[in-house]
Amino acid sequence: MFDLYFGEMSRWNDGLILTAVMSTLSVVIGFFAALPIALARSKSKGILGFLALGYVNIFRGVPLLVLMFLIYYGSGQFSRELRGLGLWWFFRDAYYCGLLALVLNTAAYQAEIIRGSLDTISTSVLETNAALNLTRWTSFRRVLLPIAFAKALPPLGNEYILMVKATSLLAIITVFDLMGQARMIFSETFDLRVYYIAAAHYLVLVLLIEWGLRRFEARIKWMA
Amino acid sequence: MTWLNSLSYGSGGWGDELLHGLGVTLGLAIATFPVAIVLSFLIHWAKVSHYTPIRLFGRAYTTVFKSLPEILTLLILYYQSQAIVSWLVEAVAPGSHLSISPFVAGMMSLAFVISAYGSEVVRAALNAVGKGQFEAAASLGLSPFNAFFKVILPQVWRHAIPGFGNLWVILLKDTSLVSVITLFELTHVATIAINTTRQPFLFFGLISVIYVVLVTLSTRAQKQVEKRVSRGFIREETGHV
Amino acid sequence: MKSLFRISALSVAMSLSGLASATAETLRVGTEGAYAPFNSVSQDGAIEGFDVDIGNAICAVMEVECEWSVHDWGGIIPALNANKFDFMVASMAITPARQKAVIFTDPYYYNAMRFVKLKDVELDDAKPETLKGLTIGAQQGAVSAKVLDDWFADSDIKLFPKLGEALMDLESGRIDLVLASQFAIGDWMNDGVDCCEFVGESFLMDGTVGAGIAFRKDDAELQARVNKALKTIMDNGTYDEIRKKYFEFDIMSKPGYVSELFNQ
Repeated sequence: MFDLYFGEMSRWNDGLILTAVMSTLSVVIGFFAALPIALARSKSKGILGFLALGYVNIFRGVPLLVLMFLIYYGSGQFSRELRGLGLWWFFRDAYYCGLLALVLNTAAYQAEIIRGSLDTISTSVLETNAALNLTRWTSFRRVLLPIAFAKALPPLGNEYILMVKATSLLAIITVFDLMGQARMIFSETFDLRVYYIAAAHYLVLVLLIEWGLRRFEARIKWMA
Repeated sequence: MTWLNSLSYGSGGWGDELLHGLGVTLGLAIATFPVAIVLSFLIHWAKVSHYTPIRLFGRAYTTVFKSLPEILTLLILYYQSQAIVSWLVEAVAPGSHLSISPFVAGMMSLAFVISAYGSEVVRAALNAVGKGQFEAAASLGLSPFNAFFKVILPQVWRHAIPGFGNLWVILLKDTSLVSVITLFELTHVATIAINTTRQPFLFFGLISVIYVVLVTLSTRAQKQVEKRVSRGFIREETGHV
Repeated sequence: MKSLFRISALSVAMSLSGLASATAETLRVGTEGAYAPFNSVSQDGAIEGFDVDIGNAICAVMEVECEWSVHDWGGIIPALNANKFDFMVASMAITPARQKAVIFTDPYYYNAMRFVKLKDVELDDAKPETLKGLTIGAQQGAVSAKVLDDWFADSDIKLFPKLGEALMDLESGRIDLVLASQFAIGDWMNDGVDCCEFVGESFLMDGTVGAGIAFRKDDAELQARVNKALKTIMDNGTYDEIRKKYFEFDIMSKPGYVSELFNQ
């Protein structure tokens, strides 16, 4: 067991770093992508609200594995057209394609989480803001957003952990995260213990993130 | 319009294979779901057990299956369960063999993962029903067994349906992962079709639409069931509980 | 709804049917199913190709029933060792690393690898010096991946779970070359692909002795039986008939090793 870990240490570390970076990036970018969608879902009854609902339903409906294949190999089929549009530099890169799939997926889930917490902010907060003569933008940015974020933190934390697990699918489009490295070492050593080492990595990573989130939650609990 | 040909039904196209793959996808989800629900209750009880080893097992189960990527759980179970089963069969009846099919391996691992989340749905639903119901049933002289199945369980469903509904949708999508151990479900059929047709956009696009439709239909059905089980709990005029 | 239940019930039942007694001998044969023309899955779900025909001919000589199944390449040796099937006919090159995990028959053909490149990429020869800085694709866990790792350190190497995926990425221009079996690439190019062409000579990885049929280490008895049957079909002309169905040329001729090619 130890030789499978120490003998391949640099590959395990590369995989671990890639998993951590890709999941963190996708959650953070996904959060900012989710904000306008959540606002549209929460406040707009018109076409914007409808579009936001459509976005959420589509990207929560497609399995991430299929979405990754679709974006990566699907775009490859149109490489000539994408070159013409000047977009090929983006789709050419497996990392960008993988990140795009992760962000599209998590933004749909995060939008629903943020919408849920926006909807629970009582009207008295809004009235207070109006009484203080805050503009709608200031009131959103300085008051509503921080409160919504604090309220949404536990489910957003869960989403972060789900994203750590979701990055394991990057391996199918040639991005070697923890799972990808594990599958590579497995295909060379034919040793099942490789997957137990990968499992230990994920367990430690997830428990660490949970611990960090709990501390962070405790600090901003007063706002929620 | 050559792409239409590749989707046609019959020997020239992939229509019938995709339909068969859809059947396997639904079959896997439908076969797994009841197992996952029963496991959810068992794991919940393990977590509130008075016996420390059982309680620890329940906690470890939830932590492990909630932390590991589903695909890793699937691969470990697929290879490890075969090694264990082969060893057992060899001990009981030397010379014969029992294969753990990708279907069974997929069913087991998805049931484990879904029930780790499901045990929390059960906990919340049982809390919502309240301890008082159980105590009342006990004071009426019902055995714990009867109290659970006749009094508690019928009320639990009402609170558990939204949670289990979400898990059903997750399960439906997670069946796509079993393609990695070559179960011929929807996603795997699409990858095989792409191997010969080299039309990834068409086939992955098509199965994406199929998954979205399945999920949308499931959500609709869930809303209907929720309405049905809430009858008598909701004021018709206001819609409030 | 009822028929859906039937489908799932059927799948479960099928999984249990593997419990066969040893008297009516059925052997389970594993392959990858994504490596045309050697093994692939057809539109009606049948597993077919050169490997499958060879395997069936061997089973016919041995007078046993053969049951085929497909497995992910990256996990195919563990699947064999986990007893998911009895032997593997999957164009697997015999290498010392693999011989530590399984045992092989004599080679049933020589699967030389060769580079295929985009026509847009200007190259006269494929050598470590000329491919410096280019992106090369290969299948994860294949001997070609090992060759790239050992000899092409200055190139960008990209590994794919399936060969077909590497070829799709070549066609779209994400990668410049693919290193794989020249026969598998030839089959792909015959399928109406005009993006790409062969470059350089074909070669074997050092230490490989061609493609063999694999068994669990404790199954030397079956290995001996299959090896004998393989010899029979090679001697009685069955092998050549099957070979002619797929290839117009001899696939038993042994190409040079990679070290002879690049060490000059």
